[in-house]
Amino acid sequence: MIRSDTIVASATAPGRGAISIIRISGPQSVKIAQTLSGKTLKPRIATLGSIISGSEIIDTGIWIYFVGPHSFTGEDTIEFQGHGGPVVIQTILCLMTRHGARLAEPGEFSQRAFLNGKIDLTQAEAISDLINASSVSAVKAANNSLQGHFADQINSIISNLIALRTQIEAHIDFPDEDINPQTINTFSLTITNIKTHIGKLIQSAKEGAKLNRSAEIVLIGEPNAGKSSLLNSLAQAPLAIVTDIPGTTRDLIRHDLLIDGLEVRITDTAGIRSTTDIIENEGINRAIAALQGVDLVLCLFDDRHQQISEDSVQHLIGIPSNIPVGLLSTKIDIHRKPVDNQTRYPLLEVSAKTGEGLDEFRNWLLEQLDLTTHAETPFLARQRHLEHLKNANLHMDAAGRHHLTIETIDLVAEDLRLAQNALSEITGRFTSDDLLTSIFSTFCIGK
Amino acid sequence: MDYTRLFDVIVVGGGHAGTEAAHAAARMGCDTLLVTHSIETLGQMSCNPAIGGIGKSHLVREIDACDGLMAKVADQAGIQFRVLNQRKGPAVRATRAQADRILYRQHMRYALENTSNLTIFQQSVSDLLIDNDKVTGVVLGMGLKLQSKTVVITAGTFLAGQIHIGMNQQPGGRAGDPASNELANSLRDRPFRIARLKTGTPPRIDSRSVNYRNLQEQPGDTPTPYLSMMSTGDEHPRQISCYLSRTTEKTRDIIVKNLHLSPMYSGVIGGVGPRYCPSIEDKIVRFADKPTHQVFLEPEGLTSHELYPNGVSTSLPYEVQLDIVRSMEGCSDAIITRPGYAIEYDFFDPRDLNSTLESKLVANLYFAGQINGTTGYEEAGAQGLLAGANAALRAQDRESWTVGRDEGYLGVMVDDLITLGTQEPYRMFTSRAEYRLTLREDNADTRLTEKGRMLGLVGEELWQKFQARQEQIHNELNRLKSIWVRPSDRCTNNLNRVLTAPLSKESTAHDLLKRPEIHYQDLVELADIACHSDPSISSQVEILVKYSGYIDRQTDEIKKLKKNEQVRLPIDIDYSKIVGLSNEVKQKLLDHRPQTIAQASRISGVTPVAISLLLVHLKKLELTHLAS
Repeated sequence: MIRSDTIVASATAPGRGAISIIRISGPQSVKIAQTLSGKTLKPRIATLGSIISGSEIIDTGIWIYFVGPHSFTGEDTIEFQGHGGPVVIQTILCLMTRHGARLAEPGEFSQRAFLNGKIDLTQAEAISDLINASSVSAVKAANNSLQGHFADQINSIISNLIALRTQIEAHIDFPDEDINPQTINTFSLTITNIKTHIGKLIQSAKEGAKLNRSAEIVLIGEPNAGKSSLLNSLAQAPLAIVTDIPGTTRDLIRHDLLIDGLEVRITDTAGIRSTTDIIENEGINRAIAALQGVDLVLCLFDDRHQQISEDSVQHLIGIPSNIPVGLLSTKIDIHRKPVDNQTRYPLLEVSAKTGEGLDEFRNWLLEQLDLTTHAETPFLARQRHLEHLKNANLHMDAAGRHHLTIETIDLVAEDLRLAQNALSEITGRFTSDDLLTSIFSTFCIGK
Repeated sequence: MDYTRLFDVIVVGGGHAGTEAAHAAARMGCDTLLVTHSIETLGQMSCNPAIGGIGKSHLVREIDACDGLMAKVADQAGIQFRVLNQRKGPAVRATRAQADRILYRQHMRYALENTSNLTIFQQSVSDLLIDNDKVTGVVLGMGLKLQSKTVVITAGTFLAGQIHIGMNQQPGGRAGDPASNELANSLRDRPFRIARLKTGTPPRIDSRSVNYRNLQEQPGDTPTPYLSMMSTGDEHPRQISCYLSRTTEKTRDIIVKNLHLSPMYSGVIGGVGPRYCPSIEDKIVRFADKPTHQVFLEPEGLTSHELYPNGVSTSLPYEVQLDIVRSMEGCSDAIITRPGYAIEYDFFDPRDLNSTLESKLVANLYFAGQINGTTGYEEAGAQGLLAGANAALRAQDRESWTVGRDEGYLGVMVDDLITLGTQEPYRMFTSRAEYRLTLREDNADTRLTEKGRMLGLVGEELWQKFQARQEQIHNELNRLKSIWVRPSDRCTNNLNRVLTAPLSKESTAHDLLKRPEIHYQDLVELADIACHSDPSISSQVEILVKYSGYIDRQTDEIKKLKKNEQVRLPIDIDYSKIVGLSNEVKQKLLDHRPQTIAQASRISGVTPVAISLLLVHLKKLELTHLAS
């Protein structure tokens, strides 16, 4: 979209490095920076200053003001170089959104730079790729935020709101039908209920979102392929029972590791194989479920596989998907012949037992998981969701408090439409035709 | 008709789209020819004899704001007028007129026959003359070729129309009129995307056979409302009432027993019917636990005994129709004068049209009305106006005219049609308009008359009237801003009784009116403020003041959207070459061929990320272009 609003985001990779940079771009950026720092910022001059909220100093760092069009995005841009740490960064981002900035969409800084002619044609493809890659990560993060209780609550709020709008819009568009719609009192009650519901959800949603985004890896392979051994040597502590009998790992075993400062969650799955063992079958089902929304799937093959084909990979992952896949031959200490890789996936060879190849593997892993600036954290995703919830609440408020009479039902309907638009930002578009469909399936219309 | 001359605009069809299209082109000074298969049925109301209603009256007022015919003719032919949603807020208020079918036709014909620059000719049209993807004229049924700069097709349900009564089918465009099969066949040979829709109509009843004693009377409003800005109310004929009847348990039994004889339920009809105007058999099946459905008995006219039973559209066999009608309240001895029927017809995928209603495939060719998948006289008439005006602009080598979603229901409808297409006959509802508070029945003139004047659509008389009205609104707003009410004023005690918070500081009458609890009438009665002599002006001012917060917000929203409306997608854009777009999005963009970024963003499944990628691609094209 072409927008003239002000956007903010962390410009450095999450969870790494001692310094973090937060970037604000757009017409309001200078105003926001000066409000938060209490300093007058001069173009191109680094200014030492703190970020103050109330009487509390959140962080102290360097402010730099780039005047448009001589900035990365071509707009007025502010950079704050602070001390990092996920909690501090997120507090700062929250403060800035409260002062009128909007959390940037993935890739939006680069997009603005390109649209403002700051990046030349040769990089156009790269921008497209960036937007694409970022959106994948954002979708993933949003999905992570939209899980469990939070998602259930939002869906319930939305379905209540749709039911209410169906009643009110039917009231408006079909006055001659004997549809016997609810009374204004019922509307009022429903509005209050939805409002309370949203309020509670905002409260509870502030907690609960994981602050940092860790990379998620799933180990998957035939029984006894050495998944547990690999996990143990990466974690350097025995985590799962390791034996030679296939089918030992019956449950999902998760472990959070810190590899070179990067938080990695590895899920060890039961190998996929047909079995009559009920418990193990359950484990296999969980393995399949664990594949949803991960960053990397590692398919493990042991010494029995001298040749790896697309088929054998498909056999392990099941449905084809766009998750990056890596192949790992785990027992080079036993068979020393190079494995014949007939797939399009990269292959690495290690020995979990002797540690051979593990360093290369670690480096390769970090490269794969590089959470660059465009990676979106579940916290940010949740933050976006909260903004939309608050917006929806404002409109619900207006609907309930100011205008709830039959004479101004058109205004109530407008407030509810705006509330729905805000919620749609979380769960997807709800069109006027969807609304009509709801009306026609609820009421018998047909004068 | 002089067949040797080159017409500016030829309009094919004399229904509600055709008449408005021809009249608009002629108003703009174009040498216009209207070709119809029957001059007698110009402006024929083939279904329900009513004009207006929720969402639809907005369109009628928009036609009127451009000095079109529908509102004026409806005022001359209307026999019962009501304002629907009178109490529900000005944005959703809607005027509806029950019309005398014969009077409507007569007044429409009179208006057309007395329009300068307009020639009317009775003939069918069998083909189009197309040269190099550009239309150059039409071929008449008798074989004669006519040349024109532009052509507007408004063939309604006549294209390959198929009428169903029970299991019996016959070709037809409307009961009693032939279908246009020749034209349908020749259009099918061209690269248009064509699909089938269906609609239905109820049997008609002889009014003298109905027992009104126990039926609820529905009189019109007093004073009688009117639709056109040019009307005064004096043009109305005698006003009469409608009556409300109901179906019974017996009706339900009859329908359930005979369902297998319905072409809809036995699978004979493949076309899709409208969800909001279902046949009575549909209603009984889908809402099985509803014991009774209301049926409005609407008189067809002052000189006719026929009644239109609104609510029992059906395609069941005649014998069953008679049983159904006789099972309704007050109708046990009813006599049917014409059977109800369902009709299937061809429509052209409106996604093949530009926002001017010109075909994307054949230049200078315009489509308007039911042929684009809509239903309703008002929807047809409004499209006719737009297509006729654009055909005229093209013939005059002038820039085209489009109506934005923020300017009128006409804009909402056309944008919906050309960006989303339609799966059922498209009807206007107020819930389709996101700027509903701005697009009111009462301000169609403010939204469109000035533009209409610039285009040449609006005549001198309406223009004078419009300007005077705008000035009065402006003056009245200023007057209210200049009147001060102080807490110490004598009238303040009266006011405080109505105010939720008592007046604490000096306020203007304008500010007071902003408070939800204060109405214009309160200012007059409680604060001794002189009342404006024209109630339509005072009510307009009240709406403007009360809605100002909401209207301002919508204006902001509109401004933001405008930017995206202005970013045009080139017609030859190759979506398959755009990096990162998913195959699904590519397919949708190929199917819809949106004209602007804003249109693309309204297609379901086109994500904000896809829009970002499109913008990047456009910039890339621009840079490449600059480089070469």
